[in-house]
Amino acid sequence: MGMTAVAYLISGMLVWGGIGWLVDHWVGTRGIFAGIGAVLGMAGGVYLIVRRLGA
Amino acid sequence: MTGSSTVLAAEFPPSVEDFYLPSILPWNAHDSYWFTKVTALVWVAAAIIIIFFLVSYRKPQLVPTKKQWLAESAYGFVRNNIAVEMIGPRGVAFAPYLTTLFAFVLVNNFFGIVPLIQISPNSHIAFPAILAVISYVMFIAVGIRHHGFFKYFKNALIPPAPWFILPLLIPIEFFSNFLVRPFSLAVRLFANMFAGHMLLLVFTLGGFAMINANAWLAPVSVVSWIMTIALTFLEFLVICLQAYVFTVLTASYVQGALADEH
Repeated sequence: MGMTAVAYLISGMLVWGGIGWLVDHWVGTRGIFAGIGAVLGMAGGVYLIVRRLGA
Repeated sequence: MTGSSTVLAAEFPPSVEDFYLPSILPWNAHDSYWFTKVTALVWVAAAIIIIFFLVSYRKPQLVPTKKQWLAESAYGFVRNNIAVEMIGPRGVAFAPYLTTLFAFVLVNNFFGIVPLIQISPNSHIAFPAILAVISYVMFIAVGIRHHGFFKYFKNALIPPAPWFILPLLIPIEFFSNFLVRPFSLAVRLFANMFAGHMLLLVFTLGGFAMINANAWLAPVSVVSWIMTIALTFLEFLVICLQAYVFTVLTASYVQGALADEH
């Protein structure tokens, strides 16, 4: 279902981007971890879509 | 002709204030909003649905009457095209709830375009939120009853994947299955009904604002009001679609909770 796929993508980015953002605050960097987190989360979301919704 | 025609209307840029209707039961009270038009409409919706289904099924005929046909096709539609289609044979057990949900959302939404009523209770977040909470609790409870507590959460949270990416995936699963779902369910319905009401307000009140500003703008006002009528038909589409989407998503969450691991 399309809605589930979009939910996975967005939550992947939000969760890991958010965690990265917290790490940024913790370490004192200015957004590098948020960026890495968003990309990682996106990758995780794509992986989940393939596993859960794909063949 | 410079005299402005004085057509009375609410002030033009409609705001969120326009959704907060005056209190009915302590008439026009400013400290008690327990019973407003919106509250009344929800009770009316419940009454309409109960009475309609009771009356139309009082003396069921083999060759259905018109009312019975309507009730049966509403139930049949939800049972066959939503419950069984999404959940499978087990979906029949959920058809009564899904039909009630569908009818309730549909009637409540429909108040949004009934002339002289024209506000949907669902344009207040509280009502979609409660409906979403019911769906949320239901699909988790169904999953726990079907699989058992630990197995259900293991199914829902742990995807089939190698162990070293699980730490990456489990938070995503948790977020999308247990936080995004109820939120998006409620917000989708609320935002659609809110935006629909706002749209109709803008075009209706905009017509009044223009005719009040300058009588020469009257033709434009008429265009604006014709747009209101056209948008009302668009709203009808949105109303049916949102009632359908809410029901289908609830059914699909129940299906996900019942699904065996894959």
